[in-house]
Amino acid sequence: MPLPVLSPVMPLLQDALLSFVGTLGFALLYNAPRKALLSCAAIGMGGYVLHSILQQWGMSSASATFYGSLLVGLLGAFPARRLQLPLVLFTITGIICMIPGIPAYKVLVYFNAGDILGGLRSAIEAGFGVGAIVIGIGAARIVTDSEWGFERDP
Amino acid sequence: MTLHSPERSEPPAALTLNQLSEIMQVVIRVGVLMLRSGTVSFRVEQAMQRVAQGLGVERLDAYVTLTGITASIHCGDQHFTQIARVKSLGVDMNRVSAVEYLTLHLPPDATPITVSQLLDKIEHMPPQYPQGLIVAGVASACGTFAILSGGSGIDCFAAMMASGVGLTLRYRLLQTRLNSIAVTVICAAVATLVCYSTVRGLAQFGLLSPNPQPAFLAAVLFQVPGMLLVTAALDLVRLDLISGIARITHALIQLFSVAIGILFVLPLTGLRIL
Repeated sequence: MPLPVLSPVMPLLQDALLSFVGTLGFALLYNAPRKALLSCAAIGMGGYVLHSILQQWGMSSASATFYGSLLVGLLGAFPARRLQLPLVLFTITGIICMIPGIPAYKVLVYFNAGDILGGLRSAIEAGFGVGAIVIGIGAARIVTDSEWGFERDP
Repeated sequence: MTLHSPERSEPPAALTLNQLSEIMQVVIRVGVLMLRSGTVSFRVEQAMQRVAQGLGVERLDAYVTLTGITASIHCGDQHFTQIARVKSLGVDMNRVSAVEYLTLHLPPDATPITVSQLLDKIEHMPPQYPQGLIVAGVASACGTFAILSGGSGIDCFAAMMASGVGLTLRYRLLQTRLNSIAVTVICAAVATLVCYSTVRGLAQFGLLSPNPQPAFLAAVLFQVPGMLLVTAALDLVRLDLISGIARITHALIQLFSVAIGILFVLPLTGLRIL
């Protein structure tokens, strides 16, 4: 049951808590090192909460996802450097909550029911969501990792 | 990508072909370990470069795809090339971290034998988390996704049950080394079935979910190829096209397998979930 909506802050708190637990679960699945578990969950929460706030302000789902995953990619650089762990660890767990699952699922259900137009609409929606995640983390990577962002032949 | 070893005060002693071959075994092993743990091609190449340079090789050219590594090492007028086939891809962040840490902190007097011993140690690291804890964590994660996707507490519970059973079954089936597509299809079907039974069972007690769609979505989320999608993206941004496209294909196959699993069960239940 959705928790009672008292003010715009309440659903955000709920989102924060839920995305924290969600990211933590997948960090366990991917066997993230123990010392990184909480940072992973916190970063996933940060990205998802930004995504929720932007959507509350009326931003489109894809743009909100882009900024959310950009934040995930940028924030990940700090614990990665401090704990000397690969950046990809924080990125992958961080974006899990933003994967457009519902549209992807609808593609299947619509097509199965013979609703081609609905299926295509959901497919494009899901594609935009995945594309936004990709562009977000790609951009963050180029900014935070010079070895990655520049082709260098020393 | 080609990296030359940093300037040294004295030129490195020329390596014999035998030594090159020994070094190559270790370098390839580092690459295979990282690739099998699910990291991006660029990182695999980088780790191999570091180890090769640390062991005194002049130049390494590595061509890393999702299913194999081809690499040549050069020293003086000698060179050695090897191909390694990579199977059974998985995700193991702890192993990626350990190998990367090793390549960054290679002892100055490292030899192929010592590096190989260190790799043995990494390969035999015990699992960090007991399987029960992972299943519980993933089940709660899937439950929270049901709520995040607009579901109710009932949907959350159904998704938790379904993903818990599904993931446990997945671990069992993977142990039998069954084809991974078959595993994904079966687990998706079972998870959907468990979710349906739970929703129906709760409805018997008057706990009716107004819109169970999020539950069914979240029930199969534990098989979403999130890792593959992200690493595919990172490969493509680096223009590692072969590897990136292979990863996208792998991710799509996995998504289709989940879809097929759901479709096996959907008509049996006669449920309208839209």
